[in-house]
This record gives sequence, structure tokens and C-alpha cells, in this order.
Amino acid sequence: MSHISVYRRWRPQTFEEVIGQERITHTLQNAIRAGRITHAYLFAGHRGTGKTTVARILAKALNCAQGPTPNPDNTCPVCQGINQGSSLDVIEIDGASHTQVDHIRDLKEKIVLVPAEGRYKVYIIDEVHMLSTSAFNALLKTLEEPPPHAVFVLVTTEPHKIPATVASRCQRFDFRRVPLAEIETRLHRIAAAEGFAIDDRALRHIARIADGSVRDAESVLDQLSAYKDEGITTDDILTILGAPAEETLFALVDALLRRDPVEVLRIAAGLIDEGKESRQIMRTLLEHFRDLLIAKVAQNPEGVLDSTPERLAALQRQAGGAELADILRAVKILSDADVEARSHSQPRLLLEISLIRLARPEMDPTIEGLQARVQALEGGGKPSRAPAAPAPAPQPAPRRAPMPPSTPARRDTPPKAAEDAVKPSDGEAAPRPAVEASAEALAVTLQDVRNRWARVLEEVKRLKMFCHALLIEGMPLEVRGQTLVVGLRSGYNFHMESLHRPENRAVVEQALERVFGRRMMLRCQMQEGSTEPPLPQADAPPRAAAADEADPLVTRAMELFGGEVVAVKRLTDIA
Amino acid sequence: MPFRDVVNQHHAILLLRAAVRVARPAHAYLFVGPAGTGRRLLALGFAQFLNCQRPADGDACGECRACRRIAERNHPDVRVLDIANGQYLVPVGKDYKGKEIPIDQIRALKQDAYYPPYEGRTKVYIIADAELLSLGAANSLLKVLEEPPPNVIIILIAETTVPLPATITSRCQFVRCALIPTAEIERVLVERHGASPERARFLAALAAGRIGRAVAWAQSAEVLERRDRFLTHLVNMETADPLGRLDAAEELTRTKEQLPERVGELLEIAALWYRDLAVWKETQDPSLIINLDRRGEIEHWAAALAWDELARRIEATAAARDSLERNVQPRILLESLFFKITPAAARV
Repeated sequence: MSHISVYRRWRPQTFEEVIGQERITHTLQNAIRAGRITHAYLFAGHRGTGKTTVARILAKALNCAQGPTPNPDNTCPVCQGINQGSSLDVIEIDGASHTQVDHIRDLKEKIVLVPAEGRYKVYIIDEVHMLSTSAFNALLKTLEEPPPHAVFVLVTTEPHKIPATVASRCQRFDFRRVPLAEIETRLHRIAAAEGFAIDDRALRHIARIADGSVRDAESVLDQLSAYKDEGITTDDILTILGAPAEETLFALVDALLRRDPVEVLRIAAGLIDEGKESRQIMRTLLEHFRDLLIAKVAQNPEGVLDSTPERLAALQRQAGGAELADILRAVKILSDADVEARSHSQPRLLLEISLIRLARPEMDPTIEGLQARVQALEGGGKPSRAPAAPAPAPQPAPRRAPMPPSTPARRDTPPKAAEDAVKPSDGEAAPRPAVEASAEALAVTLQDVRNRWARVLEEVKRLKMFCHALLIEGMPLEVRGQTLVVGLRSGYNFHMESLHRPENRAVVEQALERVFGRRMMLRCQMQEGSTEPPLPQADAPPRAAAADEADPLVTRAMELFGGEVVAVKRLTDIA
Repeated sequence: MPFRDVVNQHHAILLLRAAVRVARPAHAYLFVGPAGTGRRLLALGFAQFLNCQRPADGDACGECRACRRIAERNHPDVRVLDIANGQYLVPVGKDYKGKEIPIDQIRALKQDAYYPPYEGRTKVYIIADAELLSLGAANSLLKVLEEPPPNVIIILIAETTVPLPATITSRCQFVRCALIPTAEIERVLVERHGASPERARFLAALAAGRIGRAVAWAQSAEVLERRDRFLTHLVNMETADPLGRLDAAEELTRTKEQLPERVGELLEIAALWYRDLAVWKETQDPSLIINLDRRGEIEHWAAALAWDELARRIEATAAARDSLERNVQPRILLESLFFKITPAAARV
């Protein structure tokens, strides 16, 4: 009775069937033709773009009875064995469950044995990014000089987690997201072959939400086919995905830009009653504003936004009527809410509050909110970007002074906050493809790290209190390429060892990534003699009077408790 | 707990039923929807349907040996991994804290999955709270989730897809469990749990679509009493003197049993309360309000509090929740919250 899902049944069996990755399949085919087979490949890329599939085809191409051939015949016993997963020479390893060094040792023991039936032993290590550090290191020698009959294919969705020593031994292929049109064509083919009744609009919609992943698209198609015998429509897709309908989304954003909270709340309540997920709505909104941002800024958004012409036109219309500052504010609020939602038990509440905040700048305690209000008071003048540091409007500012300590993201000084919204550091929000390259170029200097050390600590504290306690004894010493060296005073061996443990290290590195928007590795080292205490001075908010801050009592209190100085009052004043 | 016992998830049931009818259930499902909407019941119902000895009318019989054993959770082929309720696939170590699903549970699942079913037709693994999968566990699940052995179905249950790795979600078919309409909750409370109609109406509104909660409330009055007491305190804070604030915090934290959990509950109540004020201020639409029993007070305070005042309260509540997560002492946390809820005039 077992049903094989569409994405498994339709898994491509030859290089030609793989869509959207012609550069890679052609290169591989040419290499096979020329007899230049490398012993180690690294396949990296987005989910569902064909990495494991190509790895399996490559294995067939190498071992097929027709000799190493760019076009495996899929009929010889060897090919069939590989297709059924029963071949002795194609060893597919689940890297995520075989993470330990012992698994690699085992592999190394057996790799010297000659292949049983084919020409090559192909080791496909899937989800390779989950291997432990020592497992990776144990692999290095073999990966560099394996026996002549061995070929490694390392497959991962997260290439940045692969140590450089491993990556440099492999030929790397980056699988790109499959373009919308190609997914659509493929879905057409499958639907026709499987006899699904489905209209073109619905197919295009599936292709769009798949976000470049063929498996996602096929998975949705499969699911739709299961319960609809008579034609499939766009509504069915939305029901399955829990995403709001396009028109509703546009109406919601229109209402937000009009600052019409009543309408906004009505639409949101309607969506939730329909059974849409609050967090999904937030995500979709965030993506919508991201697209708006691009439509507003880019000269030819067609090149950046992979979308249908109708949607593009609607986006451009909407972007035309919106202020850039408003869009940025929306992106910021929504991405903050998205982070907060991780630990929130009531996502609906969070959604509603964020929406009210967006539609009503009075509710938004951040600088951007203030700016929007000033702008509204001035009669909707152009948003002034450059002198963004608003001498806070006299009335509301002092009242809002005792801000709760839990919102580190909003505490940035104004120009930085504006930047943050545009930089990729805040995650999903920013346009991905364009910025990645520039982020690489932006090297993080030691000064940067020191300046924002307090934010790093704050971020670590959010993630794991224990790590914060460890890291607070440290002091950034040096930035070497991608590695941040943190110094600990001698005698703090426990701190150093604990920080070097993978789980803690991951926490700190994650925090670094969030603050600086790029990956950095952490290394700790002992310092002889004492250094100056690791004071997060540089990041202290500039608001409090400088004289007060210099007070030794205040400094000491900051050191002990962290947080920010809101106001300093002398005891005599209070009495 | 066959499908007929699941309240109102018609769409989900339709989908599962159809999948079985055309003899092709997928190998990996993700049941996604708010807690308390019957996701677990639905998963068990599906497992029964797949293994029932006498299925009829597109539903399990609920009476045969297989159905009974599944309902009693001792069917060898239907395994539930639910760390919140202490159900594991293999015993956990002594130092296990129960915060996430450890990788060894998934390893055990994989090992077990490769044996054929013992007495049923289909092996079903139900993983509740899939958001709690540790990173290693989630990654380790990927391969088996994509290509499981024949006759194995894995069902993940989650509140939302967002925190799950995309590599997981892209391998699953989604089954959405929607919030349950208030009228339906009302009916169930009256018919199955013997609540009086008025009480059922109020509870249903307050449960906001989560039937599990409404049922729990119908069975024990304690939670609701707590809510009432807390809301009264919260409203009093708008006018209380400093000593009154401290007293309130003291009173609310007097019982030490499960204190953090209870304070978490209180903070949720506070958040809903301010949400109601904000929504009422904006729309004056009673159909959008949750705390229906206190409509008079909502009207009053929504008008009395300025927008930035309201924003301060919402921020303060969020901050308190944050502190709770960082193990701040509950009483101090409540004191600090109560001191932040002050009218503008009284603030220095």
C-alpha cells in the first residue's frame, strides 16, 4: 500500500533531467568525458535543488556498465543497484547521524578495499555539515589522498559550517535556486503525466512559493493530488500552506501604509479565523515588505525579484505610494517580532501588537516610530534620512526614559538603527542575493568588535546565560581573518575550556553572527599577567551625562549588573 | 479517539481520509496548528485508522484490539515521542533536563523503524512538539524522513512551521489544524463536559479557539479564579499606592508550588488584557475582544490610557516575560512590573 511520494518517484535519473543546474551537470559530464574525475566534490546549496540527486547520478555515471559515461543507461545491473540503494560500491552516509570520529575511522578502514562490482567506490556524505570537528579532521588525510578507486561527494545545505581545510580539498559546486519558470514547466510535466487536474494559475503559485526548491514544489503538488479528484485551485494551495491569499496580503499592507488600524485588525482577525498561522502571516508580511523595498529601490526589480509580472506590477504600484522610511520601519518591527516570537507563547498577540505598532507610530517606542510621528506632524514632509538623530521631541522623550531592559535591538543610536535595517545582519529581512557579496568584503576589525562587545554579550545572554557568565571574563584581543581571539586572564582555565566546548562555542559564534552579520570563529587564549578589566564601556549609551558615567560607583554598578544608564541621581537629591 | 472524536478539524480529516482511500498516505506528515486544537488526538486517530481491523465509513472502529491498544498507548507499532508528557522511545539519562528532544531518541526511532510492523499494518511514529528537536536530532531525522522504510509513517506535531529547519518542512506534507470556532467549543463543553450554557459561552470566548484549554478550565475552576484575581490586581495597579503594589506581588507569589509556571500564566493574562485595551481603543468592536466578562472595564481603561501609556504597559509585560525566562525571581519580577504600571502623573 505504500505510496512513493512524487518527489521520490520523479527524482531525476540522468543529468539531463535535473533542472536549473545546467552549469553543474555540464561541467560534470564534460569532466567524465575527458576522464578528469576528481576524488572529492562538495555540493552546496539551497534545499531541494538537486544535490543528493546529482550525487547519485554521478555515482551511476562512474560505475555504469557502459564505462564511465556522461549518460548512465539506468538499465545495467549496476545502475539499477544504485537506484535501489543496494549497491555495495555507493555508500550513502547520513552525516547527521554519523557525526562521530569513530564513524569516520570505520570509513577509513574500509575505503582501502577495492570496489565489489563497479569501478569506483563512491562515498556520498549527506548533511555533512553536522560532522563533529574531530570527525572532519579525521577525514582530512583520506579526503586529500584517497585510494585511486574512491570518490567522495560531500553534500550540505550549510557550506559555511564546513571547515576551510575540508572545503579546500574538494571541488565545490554551488547549486542555485531553481528559477520559477523551470519549476513551473516541470510541474506541468508531472501533473500531465500523473493525470492531475490543476489550472495554470495554481501551478504558477506553487512554483512561486517553493522559493527555488523543487522538492517543496513537488511535495505540495503531491499533497494536493491526494485529496482532490476534481480540479485543484489556488485556494486549496493556500489552505495547505497556511499562507494568506495574495489579494488579502496586498489589502493588509495597503491598510498598514494608510495607517488604518481598524481595517488592519479586521483583516488580521479574519486571517486567523480562517486558520492561518500567526507566525506564518508575520513571515509573509516581512517578505512582502522586503519585496516592496526592492521594488522601491531597484531600477529593474524584474532582475532581483523572481515573481510573476502581475505581482510585480502590483508591488510597484504599492511601493510607489509608500515612503521608504515606512517600509524600513515595517521591516525592522516585523523582524524584531519574528525574533521575539521564538519564545512567545501567544504568537497571535505578538502579531496584533506589531500590526498596531506599524499602523500607529504612537505605539512604537523606537526612534523610527518617533521619526514617523514627527513626519506626520510636519504634514507628511519627506523623511529626512541624514540628520536622523532627532533631538527627541521635547514632551514624550523624558516620559519614555525608563525603557524596559529587554529590547536590546531597539537601543541602537539612530543612524545605526537605520543602517541595521538595510544591512543583512538582521537576517531574512534584507535582500539576500545582492548583499551577500558585499558582506564578505566588509571585514570586521578588532575595533568593531570592541565597540560592540556589549551587544555581543547581551546577545549571548539572551541565548544562554551560562555562556554569558563565561564570556564576561574575556576580552577581545585580536581578529585574525575570520577568527576572533578572546583573551582570558590566567587562572581562568575553566572558562576557556568551557568556551571551547562545541555547544558553548556555537552559542557565542551565533551571537557574533547576529551582531556583525557574518560568521566568525571563536578562539580563546590565556593571557599572562593581568589586563585591564573587560569593560563594555564603548557601547554604553551616549545618552547619560558623561560626568555621571565617569563616577566610579556608576562604573562599578554597570560592571556588576550590566544594562544601561538611564539617569544618575545623587542620594541627596532623592532625599 | 477515532476521527469522530476530534472536534471540527474537518479539513484535516478530509485530507487524511482521502490519502488512505486512494491508498497513498505520505510517509511524513507535519500536523501544524495551535496547541489545544486536537493535533495529538488527530494523529492517534490517524494511526488507528491505518491499523484498525474493522475500519468503516472512513474511520477507525475504536473498538477492535488495535484501536484499543493505540488508545491506551501500548500498541507496539504506534510510538509516541512526547517529552512534555514524559513519553520517550528509549529511556533518557539521569541528567536529562527535558528542554529539547535529544538525538538518541531519533537514533532509536531510526533503528526501530527498520523492523517490520509487529502486529499492525503500518508503523506510526508521532513526535510531539517538533519545535523542540535539537539541532542534531533534526538533522539526524532528515534521511529517514525523506526515504523511510516501507510501511512507516512519521508524524511531526508543531505549533508553527517557522522555527523548524526548512530541510525538515520541505520533506513533509502539511496538515493544518485550525483554531476551533467559539460556537463549536461551546457545544462540546455543554454536550461532553456538562458545563452550563452561560459558563460554556464565557469559557469558549476566553479559550480563543483552543479547545484543550476550555476543557481544562471547565474541569477545574482554579485557573479561572486565579485569572480573576490577577486581573483585579492589574486594574488596581492603575491607582494603587506603592505599598499596595508590593502587597499584590507578595500575595500572588505566596504559594511556591510551580511558581514560575504560574507567573508565566499571569503574564500571558496581562498581555491579553492590554491587547484587549489596544484593540478596543482602535476598533470598539466587541467581536474582537477576548476578556468579554470585563467589557465595562475594558471600555473605561481603553479610553483612559493614552497610546504611549498603553505601549509602556505592553513593553513592561514583554520585559517581565523575558526576565522570567532568565530565571529572575518571580516576586521581584512582579514587583518591578507593578511599579512600571503607573499612571503618568504618579511617576517621578
